[in-house]
Amino acid sequence: MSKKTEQIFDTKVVTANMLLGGNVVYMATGSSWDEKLANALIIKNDDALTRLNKVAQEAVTSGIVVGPYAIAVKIGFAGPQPLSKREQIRATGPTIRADYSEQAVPNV
Amino acid sequence: MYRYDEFDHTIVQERVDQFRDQVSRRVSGELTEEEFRPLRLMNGLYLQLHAYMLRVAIPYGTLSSKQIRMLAHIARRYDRGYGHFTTRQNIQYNWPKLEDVPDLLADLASVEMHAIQTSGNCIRNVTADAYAGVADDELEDSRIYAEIIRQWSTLHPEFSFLPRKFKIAVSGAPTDRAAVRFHDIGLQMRQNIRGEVGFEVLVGGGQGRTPIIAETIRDFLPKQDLLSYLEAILRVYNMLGRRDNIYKARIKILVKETGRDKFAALVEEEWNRIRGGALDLHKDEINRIRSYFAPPLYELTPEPDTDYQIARRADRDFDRWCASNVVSNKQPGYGIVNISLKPAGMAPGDATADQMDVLADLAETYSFDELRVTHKQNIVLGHVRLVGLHALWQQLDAAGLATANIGLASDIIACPGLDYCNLANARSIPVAQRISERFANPDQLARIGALRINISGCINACGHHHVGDIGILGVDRRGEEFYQITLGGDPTENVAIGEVIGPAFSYDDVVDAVETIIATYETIRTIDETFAQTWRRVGVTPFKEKLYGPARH
Ligand code: SF4
Repeated sequence: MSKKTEQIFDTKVVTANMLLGGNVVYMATGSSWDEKLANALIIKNDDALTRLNKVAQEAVTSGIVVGPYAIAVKIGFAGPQPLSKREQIRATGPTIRADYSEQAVPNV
Repeated sequence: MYRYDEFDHTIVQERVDQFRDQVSRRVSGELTEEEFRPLRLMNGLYLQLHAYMLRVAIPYGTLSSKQIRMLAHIARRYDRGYGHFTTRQNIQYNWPKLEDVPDLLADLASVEMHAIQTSGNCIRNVTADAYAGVADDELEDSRIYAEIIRQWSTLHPEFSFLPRKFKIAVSGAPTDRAAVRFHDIGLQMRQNIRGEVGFEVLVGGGQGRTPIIAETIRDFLPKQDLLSYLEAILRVYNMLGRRDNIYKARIKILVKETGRDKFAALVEEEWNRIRGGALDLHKDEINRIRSYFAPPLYELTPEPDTDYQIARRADRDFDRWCASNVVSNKQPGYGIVNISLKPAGMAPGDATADQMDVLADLAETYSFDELRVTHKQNIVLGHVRLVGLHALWQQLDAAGLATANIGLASDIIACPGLDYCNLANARSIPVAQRISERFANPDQLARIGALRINISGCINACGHHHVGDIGILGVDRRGEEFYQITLGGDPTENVAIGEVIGPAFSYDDVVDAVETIIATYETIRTIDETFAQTWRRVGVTPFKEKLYGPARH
């Protein structure tokens, strides 16, 4: 891969919803799926993206997740942060009331 | 209220069993996601941003206490303790888990409820005037016909795969509280010169990305022909509606492209072929359904309502609530009570499980065991004796349900928007929350007077922004939330589609913009002029100048 391509590649992570619970998850190490964006595998180039998309498709086929796709993130002190408002809200839950958010009600 | 017959029970129970089987086949891998998705949607189960969302049908918005108690139970057991009442008079749950949904549906079925036809390209939940059966201006209870249409359209094999979803609304009163002109089919009850009651049939209305006001294709349709005529309309649409382009697939586009007269002629032609057959509605059948909606056993000699008058004089808050939330019932001594689900700073249309239980108890005690969900996302108790009103209000107040703002600036319609919805561009609910906080002072609300503020999080217009006095539409600008404002929309018989006023506002600025519009209206209105009247008189310029500065020439 040329240096130029690496420079214009937006850092990404792969996200999906769990089939059974519907909850938002991110692909983490060892092809696992994690509710915490901070644990997501960071994708830095096209090869990695292709590879992880393939792993994600397998997870759909085997009935673990639904509708996986890659989202653009920037890497800050607190780990990856989604660029779009939509993905920020997906990551942290509805902004309506603190007690409605994903974090406030752990998936039991 | 309508009670299920054996046939209804069987259909619903079979669907629950079927879905249970489909879920287990999906989990075992026997069904792929592509195969399962349409089956899930046929049962009202969507996948949204954070979780699955289940939309439960509430036919024409009417519920018994037992049913809303079950809705509370479902919120507690399978969700996060609350539900969201929608502009389709339905309820949505935002957090069910797929694995729980079959049990959830079985619980719903035990109170004659389901989620069938709340998604997909079929005839959706039929809506009606929330004041049906109690309004003093109606010709007949529109729910009788909404129920007849519900039975005809439920699992109608010919209309299960229409070009697009299909929505029907019925109004029995000249004052249109059901927005019939913004439905695929609107039925407006009318009397002909012989004094018979029938329907004016309007077709091709809708909001969404192409807002269109429905056009009348028949001035008067006798009741007995209701179903054959609807069947004829649906047949023409099913044959000719566009399936090549999702944005052009609604009947409104077909009516527009074909032309009203030609479309009406096609319907009449089909109707003439099928009328007088099995779909004819006989008087006996109408009367059978009518009996389910018979007025309750009102006290015919109402006690003098002096207590109520004294309470209004003594308690300013109660008086204010009566003025905004209670309207007269056609039965003397009774009122129609609107319960606002829009307290300042809260999500419009949300109710907690505890509040739903309170509503069930109060409906049982004060309103013959019956509630209605309005398309404005509030709740109505239709038959409340004025003598009991003060006691009812105190109990509502204790449950956080006595906000006195029906029809006022903080009675905002808002769709779920980007906090939940997969299709959203921008958040709706937090904008509504901020506006209702800004206009929380009851004196200020009363001074401003009636005002419709409607917010949608995207062009699909579930928050009815096209028909707000002030409409707010969320748009996406490079991943940022912006809001386009329209003015002058009207969903009633005075029907109008709002006009875009100028460039969109940021999330931070949109509430100030709304405040500027309201302040401008207050300055330029004449006494007793509604927003719509002021708008029609002065047009866009004064509002534009205040928002964007004077136009440069
Ligand atoms: S208007 Fe758009 S954002 Fe709002 S509920 Fe409908 S589809 Fe979702």
